[in-house]
Amino acid sequence: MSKRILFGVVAVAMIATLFIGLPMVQANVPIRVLINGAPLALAVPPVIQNGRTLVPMRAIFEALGATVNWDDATSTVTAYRREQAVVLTIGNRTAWVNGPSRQLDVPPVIVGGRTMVPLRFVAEALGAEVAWQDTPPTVTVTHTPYVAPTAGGTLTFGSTADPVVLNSILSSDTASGDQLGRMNWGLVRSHPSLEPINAIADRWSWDQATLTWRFWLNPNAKWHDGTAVTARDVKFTFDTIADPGYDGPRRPAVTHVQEIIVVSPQIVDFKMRQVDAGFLFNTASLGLIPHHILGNVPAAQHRAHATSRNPVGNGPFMFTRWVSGQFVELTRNPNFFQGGGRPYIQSVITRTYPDLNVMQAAWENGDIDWFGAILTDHIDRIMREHANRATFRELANHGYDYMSFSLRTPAGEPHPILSDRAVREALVVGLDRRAMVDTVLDRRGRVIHSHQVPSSWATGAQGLNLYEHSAVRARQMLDAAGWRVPAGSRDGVRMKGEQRLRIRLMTNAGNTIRADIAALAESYWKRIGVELVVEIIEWSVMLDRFSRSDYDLTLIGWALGLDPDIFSFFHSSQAARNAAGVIAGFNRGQFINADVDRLIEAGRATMDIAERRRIYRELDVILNRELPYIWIFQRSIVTGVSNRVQNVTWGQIGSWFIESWSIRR
Amino acid sequence: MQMGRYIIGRLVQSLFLLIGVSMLTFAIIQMAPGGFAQMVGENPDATAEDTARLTALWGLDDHIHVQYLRWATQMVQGNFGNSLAQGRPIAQMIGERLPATIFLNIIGLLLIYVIALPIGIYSAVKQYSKFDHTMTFLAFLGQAMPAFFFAMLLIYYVGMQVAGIPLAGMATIGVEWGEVPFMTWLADRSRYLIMPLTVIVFGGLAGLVRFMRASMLDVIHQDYVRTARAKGLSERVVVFKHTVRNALLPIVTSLGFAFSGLLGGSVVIESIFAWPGVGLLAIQAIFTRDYPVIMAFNLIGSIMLVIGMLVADILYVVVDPRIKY
Repeated sequence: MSKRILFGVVAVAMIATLFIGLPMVQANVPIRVLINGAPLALAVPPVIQNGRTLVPMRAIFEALGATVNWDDATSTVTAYRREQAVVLTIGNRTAWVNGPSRQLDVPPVIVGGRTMVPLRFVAEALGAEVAWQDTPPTVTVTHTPYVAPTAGGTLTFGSTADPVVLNSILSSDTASGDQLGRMNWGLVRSHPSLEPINAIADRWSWDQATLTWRFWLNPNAKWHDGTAVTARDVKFTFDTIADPGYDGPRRPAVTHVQEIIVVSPQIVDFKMRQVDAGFLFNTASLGLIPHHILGNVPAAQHRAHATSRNPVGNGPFMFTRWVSGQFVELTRNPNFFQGGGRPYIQSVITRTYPDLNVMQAAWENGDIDWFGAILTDHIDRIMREHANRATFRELANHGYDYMSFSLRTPAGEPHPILSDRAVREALVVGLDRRAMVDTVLDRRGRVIHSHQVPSSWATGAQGLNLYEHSAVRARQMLDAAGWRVPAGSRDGVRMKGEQRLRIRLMTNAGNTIRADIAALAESYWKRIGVELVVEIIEWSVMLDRFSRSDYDLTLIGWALGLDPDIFSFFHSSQAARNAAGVIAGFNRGQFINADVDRLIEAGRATMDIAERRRIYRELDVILNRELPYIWIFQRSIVTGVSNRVQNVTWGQIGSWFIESWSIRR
Repeated sequence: MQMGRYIIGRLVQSLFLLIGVSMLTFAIIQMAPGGFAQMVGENPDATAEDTARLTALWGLDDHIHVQYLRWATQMVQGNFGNSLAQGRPIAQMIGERLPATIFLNIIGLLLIYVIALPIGIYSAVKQYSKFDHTMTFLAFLGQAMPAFFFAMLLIYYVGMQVAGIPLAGMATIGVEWGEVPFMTWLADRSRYLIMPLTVIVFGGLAGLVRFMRASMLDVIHQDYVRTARAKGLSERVVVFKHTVRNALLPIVTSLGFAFSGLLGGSVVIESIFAWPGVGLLAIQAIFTRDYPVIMAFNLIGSIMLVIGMLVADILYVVVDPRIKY
C-alpha cells in the first residue's frame, strides 16, 4: 500500500518535472551562503539543481565586487570585475569566462522573477574559493576583496628608441608596440599564462561547421574621444589590413579571413577560409584602429596620417604628447571601459635613452622606475646595491638561441657532413650547453632541448633526449659514423675519405653572447676532432647567406610569438627556394619530415588547446630526435623595478595589467 | 670680379660633385644587404609573398636607375620625400631634430675655438714649458680617449654623484620655452648641456690646440718675426700682431671643415646623452634601411661639406690678401 503511494508520488513527481522541464529541489532546510564568513542576504533562497546550488545573481555578483549588466533582449547577464568578464545566458549551458566559452552542468534559471546562477561556477570564475558543508547546509565562499590603491603618481620607463609609428596595424618596432599596448587594445589580449583573455571583446565562440568566429564587444568600450568602439571599427581594422594599399607588416594575420560581418554594433563575425588555430593570438589580438577617424583615409595614407603620431586609442591610458627623441607621455583614461577606478597611475612617461648603459645608470639614479633587462655583468652588483629600494624579477625571454644545421646544399643535395643525423648528434653531445649557461649567461638562463620553451603553454614533452655532454661519447659517435682521425694527423681533425670534418659557423656581429657561444663551440668541438671555422658577420649579410644555404651552421635566435605553431620554422613548404635560389620561408636549414608536416597541419586545424598541446609535445619529441637545430638555451633577464611601483602582476615572461598598477605616494 | 667668377665656377663644380656623390651613395645603399621590407618582415609571422608585396608597394623592386631618377626628380623640386617607416616628410623629421643638434654643436664649436686658440698660442710662445707639456699631454689624452668612454666616465663620476647634473636628455619634462620664466629655462638647459658639452669640447680641443701651436711655431721661426723682435717691438706686439695674425690663416680654413661637422659630428655624444638631435635619426634610419632618410642625410652632409670647403677657400682670400684667384 505504502509502496503504491510512494510509487504514485514518484510518478507524479516525475510527470511534474516533465512539465517544469527542470528537476529542482527546494531545500527543506534553507542553504546558507557565507561570503568571507558573513551570511549573504538573499531575497530568494538558494535552490539545488543536479547537486548544484543556484543563487540570485545580483546578490552574489555584488558580494564578490562585480558589476552586473543585464541584456533583456538576449536574457544575458555579464558580470565585470576588474579585467574579468563572466557571461551567462538564461537556460543556456554555455557560459563565458574571460573570453572563451565553458560548459555549465546547470544553466541559469529564473525562479520567482529572479535570475538564479550556479554559485560555485560564478564564484570560481571570479577567482574565489568555494567549500560545501552538509550540516547545516552551508556554502562558504572565500575571496580576497580588492582594495583600490591610492590613485595618482607618475611611472617612468626608459626606451632605447623613439616609437616609429603609433598605429597598431602598421608598427613593427618594440618601442611603438609598448606604447600601443598601454593605450590601444584589440578584441583579445594575453593573460600572464599567455592564453588569450577578453579585452575589447567580452567573449567569443568558434563554430567549426560554418568556420566562423563570433566576438561580442564590451558595450562600454569607447575611443578616447568618446566615440563607442563598435563592430564597424573591427571590420574596418581588418579590412584595412587586407586593402591593396596597406603598407604594414600584418597581412599574414588576415590570410585565412574570408569576410568580416558586422552583425550588430556589438557583435562581429569573422568568416574564415580554413581553420586557423593561431587566430586569437595573431589576428584578434591586434589593436583596433578608429573607423570614425581613418574611415575616409585611403589605407596607403594611414602611415602619414596625424594619428600615427597622435593616436586615439581605446585602452586604459590616453596619448598626451610625444617630444621627438625625448619622451612619450600617456595619461590615465578616466573613462576606461573596464572601470573599477582603474587605471590608478596618473601619468606614464617613457624617456628615450639610446644607450643601454646610460639607461641603466638612469635607473640606478632613480630617473626611471623600470629597467627591463639589467646588463648581465652588473646584475649581482645592482641587486646588492639597490636591494632596499627596488624589486628584481628574473623573467624568461620568450625565445631561444640555437644553431641551425644546413641539411642541404644549394643544389638540393644532402649536405656532405651534416645530413648525417649521427654527426649532428655527436656535435650536440660534444657541446657542454650547461656550462654555456653558467658562463656565457652567468647562470641567467636554461638549457633547452626542443622548440617549445618552458614559457610556452605547449611545453612539457616527455621523453626528450637531453644529449648530456660527453666528449667520449661524441668521439665514439663520430668514429661509428666513419669520421676518424687519420694516423699521423697533426691537428687531430677527423676525415672520411678525402673530406675533412671542417664546418663553418656564422653568426651576427655585435652580439657578445653569440660570439662567446661560438668561441666555446670551437674549443669543445676541437676536442672531438671537429674543426670549426667561426665567421662573425653583419646581420643582414648573414640573413642573406642563411637564405642561400651558404653556410654549414648558423648561430642565431628566435623571439617567439604567443601561439606555439611552428609552421614557418619546420614545415617543408617553408624550405622552398624561389627562382633566385633564395629560401624565402624560415625553414632555412631545409628540414623536411613528413610526420612533422602532418602534425604541424593538425596543430593548425584544431582549436582545442589540450589537443594542440598534445600535438606540439609530440612534435617536440620528433624535433628533439631529428635535430634540425642544436637548441642551446633560453635566456632570462632580470628586471629591476623601483619599490614605488606596486601591484604589478608578473608572468613567466613579463609584467601584466598596467591598468591595475599603482604608485606608492 | 675675378673672385665672383671663381665662386661661380666653384658652385658649378660643386653641383656636379653633389650629383656624383648622390649617385654613389644611392648605389652603395642599394648594395647593402637586406631592404626596408626585409627589416620590417624579419619575424616568424612574415611570409615571403608579403615581403615581396611590400617591396613592390614601396617601389623598391624597380631598377636602381628608375629609383634614382624618381628620387632625383623629387630632390630637384626641393622635396626630400617621405620616410618609409614613418610616412612623414623627411624635411619635417629633420627639422624637428635639427635645432637640438645645431644648438649643441655651435656652442661646442665656439667654446672649442675660444679655449683652444689662447692655449695653443701660449703653448707655442712658452714652448717646452710646464704649461706646454701639460697641455700637450691633455691634448693627446683628449684625442686618444674615445668620446663614448669619456662620456661614460662623466655619467658615472659626475652625473651620478653630483646632484643637479642630469645624466642624459635635453630638458626637464615640463620646462619649456615660453612656459616658464626665461631664467628657469636657461638654468635647466644649461644643466643638461654641461656633460655633453664637456665631451665635445674636450674631444675637439685637442686637435685644435696642437694645430694652433704648430701653426704658431711655424710663424714664430719666420724671418719677419725675428725682424720684428730685432726692431725692438714689445713681445706683445710681436706675438699678437706679427705672429698670431699669420698663424691664424690655416686655422680659419679649419672653420670651414668644422662647419660640415655641425650636422653629424656628434652622433656618438647624442646617443649617449640621449640628446634628441639628427644623428640619432640617421642611425635609426640606417638600421631600418629607411632609404629616403639615409639619402637625405648623405645629401645634407655633402652639401655642408661642399659649402664648408668653399667658405674655407673664400675665407683664405679674405684673411690673406696675397692670395688671388
